[in-house]
Amino acid sequence: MISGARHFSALAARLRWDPDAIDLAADVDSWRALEPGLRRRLTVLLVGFCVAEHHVADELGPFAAAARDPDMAAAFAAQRADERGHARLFDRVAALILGAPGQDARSRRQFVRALAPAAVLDLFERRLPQAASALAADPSRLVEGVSLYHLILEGVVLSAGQRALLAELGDGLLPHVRQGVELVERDERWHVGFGLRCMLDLRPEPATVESLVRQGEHAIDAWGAVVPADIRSRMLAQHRRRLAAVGLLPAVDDHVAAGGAG
Amino acid sequence: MAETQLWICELCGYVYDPAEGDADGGVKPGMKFDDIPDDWTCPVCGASKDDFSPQDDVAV
Repeated sequence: MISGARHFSALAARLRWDPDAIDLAADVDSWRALEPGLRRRLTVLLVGFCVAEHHVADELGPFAAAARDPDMAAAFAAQRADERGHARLFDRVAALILGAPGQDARSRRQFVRALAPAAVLDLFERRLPQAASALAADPSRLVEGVSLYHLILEGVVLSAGQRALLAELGDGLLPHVRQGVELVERDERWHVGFGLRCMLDLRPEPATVESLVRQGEHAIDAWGAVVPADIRSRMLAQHRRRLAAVGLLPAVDDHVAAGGAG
Repeated sequence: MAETQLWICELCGYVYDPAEGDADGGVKPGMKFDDIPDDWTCPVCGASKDDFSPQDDVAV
């Protein structure tokens, strides 16, 4: 069972935080002192988030317009406010920590995207805008949009990247960057929950839900080696478990009993 | 009498219903929230059991 859409707007209001209030400049000296291999891995993850958070903030508009009721539209609007904050945080990371040149977020993003994994760029610069455009043209395609945006990109790709970042920053390195990533990761939890709420309301075809498992298995590799195998495995298991927990997929035990696996 | 108290994950909005349990989490239908093992995690977001509250106490 998952809460109704109204719950998520109230939750977002309770959790709201200010991305400009985090003192990222205090981490600059620590960043420069990092072991080069760790700095390279963190760079890949951080530039990926710079690109991804910009696009998830930018492409959410058609989702609110296609919402089936005012509560769902309000939750999409609350989510969009979150995503703008996340994009702002990672733009500050690009400017202050990664030293990206440029007078504005767009020019800094152009600089950092050259360092991002190609598969991350493909998901967020091509597939997500494509899905958002299709949704803008045909609001009945909301289930496809939520499937990609909330359940694959947020529930699998970004969640895996956040877990990898937090694992790399687990020894007190870059405490202010870590604080920001923790807050982003906390927000993403309700975004995924809200995505499941939308899916239940939209009643997708079983084949659509089953394809989400396969899409997740493919998308989890987008980050490459900077997301360790154990995190990929855990995030894929969580992806399947959450679909089953709200009744979109049969539980593994039920699936086996029905002769679907084993 | 069967347990009916619902518990909600304060981070993601998942609601634990003892009537349903959590099959993939090893929790059979009918199990009270208090009886779920402490290492159980939210099936939606992976939060700990401590992140749940009785549903009456949070806005839904």
